[in-house]
Amino acid sequence: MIEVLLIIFSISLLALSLTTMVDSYVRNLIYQAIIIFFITLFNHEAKNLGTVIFILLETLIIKGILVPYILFRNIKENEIVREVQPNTPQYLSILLMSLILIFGFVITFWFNKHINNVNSMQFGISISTILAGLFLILVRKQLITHVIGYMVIENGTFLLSLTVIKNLPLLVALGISLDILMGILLAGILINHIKTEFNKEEGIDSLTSLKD
Amino acid sequence: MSLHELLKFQLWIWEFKVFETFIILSLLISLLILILRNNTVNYILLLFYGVFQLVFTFFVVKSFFKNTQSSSFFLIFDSKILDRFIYADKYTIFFIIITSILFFISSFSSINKVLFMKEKNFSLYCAFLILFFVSLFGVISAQNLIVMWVFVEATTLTSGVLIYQDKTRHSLEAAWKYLFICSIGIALSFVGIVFLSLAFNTSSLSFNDLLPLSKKANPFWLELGFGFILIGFGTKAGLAPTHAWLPDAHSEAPSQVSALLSGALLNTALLGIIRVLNILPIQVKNICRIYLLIMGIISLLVSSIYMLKSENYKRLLAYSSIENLGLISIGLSLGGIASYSSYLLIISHSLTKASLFIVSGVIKDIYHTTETKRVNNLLKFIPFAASTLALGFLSIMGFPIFLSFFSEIKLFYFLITNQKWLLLITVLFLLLVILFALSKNIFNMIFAAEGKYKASELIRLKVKKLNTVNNIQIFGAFFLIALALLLGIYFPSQFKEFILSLVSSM
Repeated sequence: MIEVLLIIFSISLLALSLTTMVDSYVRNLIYQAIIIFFITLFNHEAKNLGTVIFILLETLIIKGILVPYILFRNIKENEIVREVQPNTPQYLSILLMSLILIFGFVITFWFNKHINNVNSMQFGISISTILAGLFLILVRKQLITHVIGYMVIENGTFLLSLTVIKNLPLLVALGISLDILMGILLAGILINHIKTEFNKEEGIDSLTSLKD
Repeated sequence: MSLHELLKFQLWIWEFKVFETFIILSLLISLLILILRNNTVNYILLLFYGVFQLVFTFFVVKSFFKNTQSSSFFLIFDSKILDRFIYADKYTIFFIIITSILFFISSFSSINKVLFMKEKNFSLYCAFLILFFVSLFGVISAQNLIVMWVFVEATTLTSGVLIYQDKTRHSLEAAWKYLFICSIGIALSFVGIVFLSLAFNTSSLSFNDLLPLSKKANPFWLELGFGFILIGFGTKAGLAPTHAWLPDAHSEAPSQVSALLSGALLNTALLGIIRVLNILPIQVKNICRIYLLIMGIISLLVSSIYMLKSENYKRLLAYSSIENLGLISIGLSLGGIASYSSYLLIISHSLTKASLFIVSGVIKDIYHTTETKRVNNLLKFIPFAASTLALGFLSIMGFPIFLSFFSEIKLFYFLITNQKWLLLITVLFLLLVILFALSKNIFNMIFAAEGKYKASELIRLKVKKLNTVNNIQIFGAFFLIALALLLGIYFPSQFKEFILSLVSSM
């Protein structure tokens, strides 16, 4: 079951590389949160049920509801509709994303040989998710897509930590998700300010005044 | 949540011990400041907090030295959950003393903001300054990798708000870059933590639990994990090549915040690297030290190149921070007496750089520019600030009788006795370049007569009544420099033993 979910998750990464609408990026994040929710559900070890329930709720509320809500509001306030200039052509973007996924699967096979008792496919996919987030940040030019890329990286690290660190203390899990939430909130506020300060010319190209 | 866990949680809620009380009091004070919105009252509250945290630090240090035998001295922190994650060890003691003094001085010298800032902004500034200190405290005293990670991310968020206090275009850009680059870096360091957990094959990531397991751990994953952590925490520590945020953030933040960023934040990120290095087994550690050495040398190189180019004195100081952190990591990577020199340099750099940033803030207040060539003849206009700046310059470059001199001499001594000639020549050459770049700019600011850019009448008038506010600020800066000088002249033997104990456990 987890394998199927992981495959769906990697398809969502491919979709991220194709889309140009900012709205659909955020929707993609919601899908990813739901998939992570189910992966956690099937992955859990019954002995620490409290933590599992907490992590499930936390994924759903923070990753699935609050973060998308903040991003959607930001998009609405700033009237961002579309990715203005996709930096790379579509075919190249999907080609590179597929390469990243293939790399993830290579890691999976390599990992399978060397280390037991860890879900190797989940390990590989989470590595490609992290790379995919970095890829989004490098390729896309808008600030909001950078924030989305950061969220994709966070999803990747979350999946990775699920494979390896089995029982994270509750307080610590709470700390991690609060950090992420506050980070997104702060980024949203900064994007708002940048929008007004830089005359709607939002995008990483306008942020070049500081240099030597 | 099982019943047992729930019970523990309730115990934690009800058993307010000293440490929790400190955190909760800090949060309450910052909340109060946010509500009050009166500049004078808020400043007094901030000062009160500055004194309060000094006293708290004093008691932590005192109780530590009372119970040096046991690692769990922490009778004062015996709450049920947090005691596994947060308590003070000798590294905590070393870094908390520096951070605490710096925080006191920066809160004290925030006095100029009382006059010029809007109520809303000033209350936000004070509240986040306190929150920033709490998160720094958390990083320093966290004894668990993930808890440390959480606090490091918290320092990014709180200081991100502080950088954007001047509400200018530049500070906005700097805050965005800082927030974004550091968040990505810290996310990558989380990957490193996961790899370490894979290597140790354990779910508890407390440093004490990991240390005995290190012999059995898988070296490949250890090395990979350390690599990611070095990149992640190295980003926060401002080590090149991931230093891009540092000059922007340091130059655009209010100067008191720059002082804290440079003197306290960079150290705490370095502490993360030190702690991880400590739990590695010796073979892996030797390889990882080479990575740290390489990053240190690149930092020296990059900072020397940019310092030659930079025309902004705050950015110049920021690059000098990169240089110092580079030297510190070179020392740490070599071990032995070189590590000892690094700890001395950490003290000296924190004190000096904080003071230099505060002075630069005063200069910026008067001249309304950060361009080096527009600031001339400081010695005539503002002699007190100019002499503090000059002393700071001497200290940062390691002139004799300053603490940094003894630190750098020890590093060179180590390099000579171990016959690392190539490294010695590289470091000396780069330091020479940096000395040239820094002295050219600073001397120009202090001594050169006004040339093309004559100081306007307005500035002259302003300088004449260089008000008490600025004098108070410079007094704080002078205090820090005096401390660095004093420690150079007389370094108590207890301090020496204490630092040697830090080095020996590396």
